[in-house]
Amino acid sequence: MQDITSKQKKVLLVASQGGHWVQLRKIAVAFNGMDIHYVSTVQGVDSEVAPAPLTVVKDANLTDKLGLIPMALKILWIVLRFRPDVIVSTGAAPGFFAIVFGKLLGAKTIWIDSIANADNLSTSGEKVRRFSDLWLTQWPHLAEVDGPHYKGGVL
Amino acid sequence: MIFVTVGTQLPFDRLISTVDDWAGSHVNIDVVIQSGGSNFEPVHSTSTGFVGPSEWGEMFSNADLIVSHAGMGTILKCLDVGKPLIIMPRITALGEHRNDHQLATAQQFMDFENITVVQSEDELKSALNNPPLAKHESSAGMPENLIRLTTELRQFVLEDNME
Repeated sequence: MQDITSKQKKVLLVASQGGHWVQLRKIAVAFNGMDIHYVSTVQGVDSEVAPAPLTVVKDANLTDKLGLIPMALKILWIVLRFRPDVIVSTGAAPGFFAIVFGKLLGAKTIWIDSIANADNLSTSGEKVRRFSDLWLTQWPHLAEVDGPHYKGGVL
Repeated sequence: MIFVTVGTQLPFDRLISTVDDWAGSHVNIDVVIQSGGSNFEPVHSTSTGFVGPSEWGEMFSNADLIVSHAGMGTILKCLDVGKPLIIMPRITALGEHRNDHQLATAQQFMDFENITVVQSEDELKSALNNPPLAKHESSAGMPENLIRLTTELRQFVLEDNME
């Protein structure tokens, strides 16, 4: 799967813990051979992703709005330093910030809403819409003509 | 061994107290609980608040049965290896989550042979008495939907070079 074009691509893969992270790891194979950098809220997964580098950010969510500020700043710093060509996230809050900042800085952005959201899109998923070049759900019944689109899923 | 896991974000006392109560009348079965931020202190089970990914993985592998909230990480890992899983979704009205997406998640996994979905404490106890069975035939390779998704993602990333 390695070729010259794919080697040049810098890809930032972002997910918080639990299911978001497990899903991100399942789709990571799509970016084989590219220059990958991970961002997560889980400590202790360095060895799982090695040799790809990992930056850990402290978790926060909408019930902890103050915690979102340092998270946003750290994500902005990571995006500015790594300057990815592509940003991919399976959620939640850290992925939202990465995609917003990435889009503003000219990266291609991909949001894949968690397969956990079977009835409606996640809150971050809704909010990230206008910053996402590719805006996906993993449930065919949630797909709409204007997005979110369905292009397969982890199961 | 039964491994009970409720994620890292929120307490889930209803699940933990029910399993612990059940463990009290089944003293020959080891129950290990990763309780997250739960307030209930288990008395019949071994309990730990938070564990790192490697310790979590070890407990998961050693378990014969997993009992969990409807967290996608645990569900996906059980599906990967066909491990028996009982899911009890968190309910917002009981203060167990910020929204009811776990009900929708659980609904989607009711027909999997190694998964039992329960709603109430009573249903949880009867599922513990009569747990789902492991799914043995291995689903070799990647699911078709995942092959489709990763192929589409790769294409999208490589098309019209931005340089």
